[in-house]
Amino acid sequence: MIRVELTVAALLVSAYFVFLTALFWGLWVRASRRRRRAATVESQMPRIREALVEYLSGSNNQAAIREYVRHYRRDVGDAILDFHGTVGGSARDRLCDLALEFSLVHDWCQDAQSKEQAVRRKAFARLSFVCAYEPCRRVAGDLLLVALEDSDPEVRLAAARALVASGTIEELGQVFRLALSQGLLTRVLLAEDLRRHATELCRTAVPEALARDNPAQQVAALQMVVGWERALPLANLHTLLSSKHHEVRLEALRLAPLVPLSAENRSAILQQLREGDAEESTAAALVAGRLRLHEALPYLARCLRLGTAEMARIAAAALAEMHPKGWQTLLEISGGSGTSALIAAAALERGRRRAGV
Amino acid sequence: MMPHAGLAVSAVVQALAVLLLVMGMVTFATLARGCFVLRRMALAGRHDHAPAILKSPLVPAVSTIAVPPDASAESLRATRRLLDLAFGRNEVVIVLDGPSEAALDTWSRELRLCPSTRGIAGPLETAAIRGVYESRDPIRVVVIDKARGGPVDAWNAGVNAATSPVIALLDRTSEFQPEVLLRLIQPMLESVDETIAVCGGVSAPPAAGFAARFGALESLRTWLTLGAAFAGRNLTLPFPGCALLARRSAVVEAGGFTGGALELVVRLHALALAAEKPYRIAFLPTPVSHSRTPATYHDLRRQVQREQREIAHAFRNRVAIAGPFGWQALRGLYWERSLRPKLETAAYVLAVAGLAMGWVAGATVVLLLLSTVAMGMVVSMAAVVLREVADPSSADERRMAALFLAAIPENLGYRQLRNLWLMAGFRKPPDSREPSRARTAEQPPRAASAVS
Repeated sequence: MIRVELTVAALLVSAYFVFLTALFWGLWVRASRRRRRAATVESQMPRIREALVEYLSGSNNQAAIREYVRHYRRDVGDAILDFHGTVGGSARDRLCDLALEFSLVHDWCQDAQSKEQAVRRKAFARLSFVCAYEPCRRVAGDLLLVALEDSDPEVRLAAARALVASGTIEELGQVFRLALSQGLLTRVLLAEDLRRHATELCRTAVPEALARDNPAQQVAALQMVVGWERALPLANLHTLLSSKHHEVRLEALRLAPLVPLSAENRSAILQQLREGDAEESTAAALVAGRLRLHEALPYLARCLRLGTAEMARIAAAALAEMHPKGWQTLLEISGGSGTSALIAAAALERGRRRAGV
Repeated sequence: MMPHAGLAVSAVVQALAVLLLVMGMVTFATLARGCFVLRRMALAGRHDHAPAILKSPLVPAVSTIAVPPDASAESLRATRRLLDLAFGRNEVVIVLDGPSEAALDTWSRELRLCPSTRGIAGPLETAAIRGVYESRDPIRVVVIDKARGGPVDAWNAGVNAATSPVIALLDRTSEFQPEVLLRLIQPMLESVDETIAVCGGVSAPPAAGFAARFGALESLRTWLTLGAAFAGRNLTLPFPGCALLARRSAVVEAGGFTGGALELVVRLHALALAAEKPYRIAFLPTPVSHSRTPATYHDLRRQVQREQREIAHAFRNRVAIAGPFGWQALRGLYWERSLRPKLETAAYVLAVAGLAMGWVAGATVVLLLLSTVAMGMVVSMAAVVLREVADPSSADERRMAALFLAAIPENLGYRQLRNLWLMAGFRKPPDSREPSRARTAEQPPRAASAVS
């Protein structure tokens, strides 16, 4: 019996060893090849970059670049992409023109239709850089719009970025709507790209999204607009400030300091400060402080006296922004006892220090 | 009488050898599963959006909680590392558990503290808070001075004090990158509602010397199992050296800390499964954090026993922390870290005694060595090559060869010694510097009934 067990165990363990040793050998060979290739690329990359920089600085000699494209086509593409974020205007156009001239853009358009996710991603990342240049955008054609429906979120993101760089206002609206339907990460990334188109978007796409009776979309749209961190000509915020959905009201409160302060908005903020739950009142106190709403003084004092520690601190900070009446209120409260008095005293001291008093 | 005893000993050794061989094969299969998961993740790819995340006001704030055991230079340095993390809105919450006046004074000088008006009245029960301090410098740090209640109590005080929706737990003994939070938050941003926690990091890198290589192999096997293989079934557990992000609301709902990070994550899994809602505890295999490579055998033993104690405590309290899910989550760890070392050591003792008495045949001893030593080499070598198969981009053939070959000496002496360490670690009561787990045993957390 032991002989059988021993034979089976020996065979099994030997099979494992043979398999692992063969795998190890294969990996060793592959890793060595990769290392050698990486070393070659590492030695060529500075030269490729140097040739591109020379071309960007005005030289019309393309012989060296042509030679690199012939031998290291993929690496030239990588080198061009390395300029993303470092060149703009005519230098960028010149670089895109070069990619077009050597048919790199056509290659990328072809790769963009690949079934392999990694290839598609890389192609769209490159296209999103060069599509800011109109002739490249024409070559890409409808590829970018089609890619907004891709199954891979990274491809959708790259296509959206390419459209932001080159698209019309309708296409920007489409990207904005895409952002609303995706996760927070996509919104974080696209908010940055869409920021410079914020004013145009606030004319149509944003009001449309906010007017829809879909709280999730409204919250997403408000998050995008808050993410732009810009003063915006957005009307009717008060309807969202009085929405029946808590999340919508909260996001609308965050946006309130960035839009014109109409009488309706002012009254809606005061209502939140007066009647909202702890989270809403805290957010409203923050807004009241930023906008220096003197009508909010009694409510802020109440938040300071009766609210949670966090709310009291924010209310006190808001009062400290409203010299002289706010300071007077803080002085009165700091004369009492308990946590509110301590918070009021600390806020008053900070306010005075900041004002140099 | 003697022949019967001899036969019995021989039969037991044979049975143990076969059992250990099967356990080795199961471990190999688990590593292979981890490899497939990692390969799938590598193919799906994950762009690093750290620069955009750093700037965006839409990204939720994070509170990084630290419970320094003292005011030593090492603790101060570890805290400074937390303050240097790159993140838009990171608040560092430092909880001092019953510090002496001198210790409080040291912290006060180091961080230029002044009393804060901030009130700490959180949902978790803790020992009394004696004072709250903030820095005069423009850094977001809150220091809580509380009455001594043990590290678990201090972690819970940290959760109470945290004002951000996400809390970060970074092990002070691990090496983490300054951009760790920017990378870890990404899976949470991808699906805000579903992701309740993220465990990120890689295994410890190898260094020169056998202790360092054995430590790296140990770390690699654990990482491939607890991180990668378990992630395939959405059962990710924290591995040594990992960085952890968790939604504060989920931690509060779980009744706070009852032990270390392992217990917390097991409990989060259990509660999420009991709620029958879709959830995810994500595994992020990127080099944002890793445990320190041990330089000596002493360091290695300390590391092994520290992990073992945490596993042992979680296992003992599995019902209190996670109900029926506790066994499901921890059985693999129990077999590998508690049962196997005991069976293996018993088999060695019986084999040596049997050989001396002439009861055990040489073939049986060879079978036992094949099941333990040779299978151990197979498992360690598999961990090395499967890791490289999963993510060839990081391949370095010299490092791979050094680790692959270290699997041979690892199983000739060290493995047997490690079995003794594991057995001692599983029995040893928790170190007073580690989270005190007394509360779990005596008083299960509030929501324990939800999962039982």
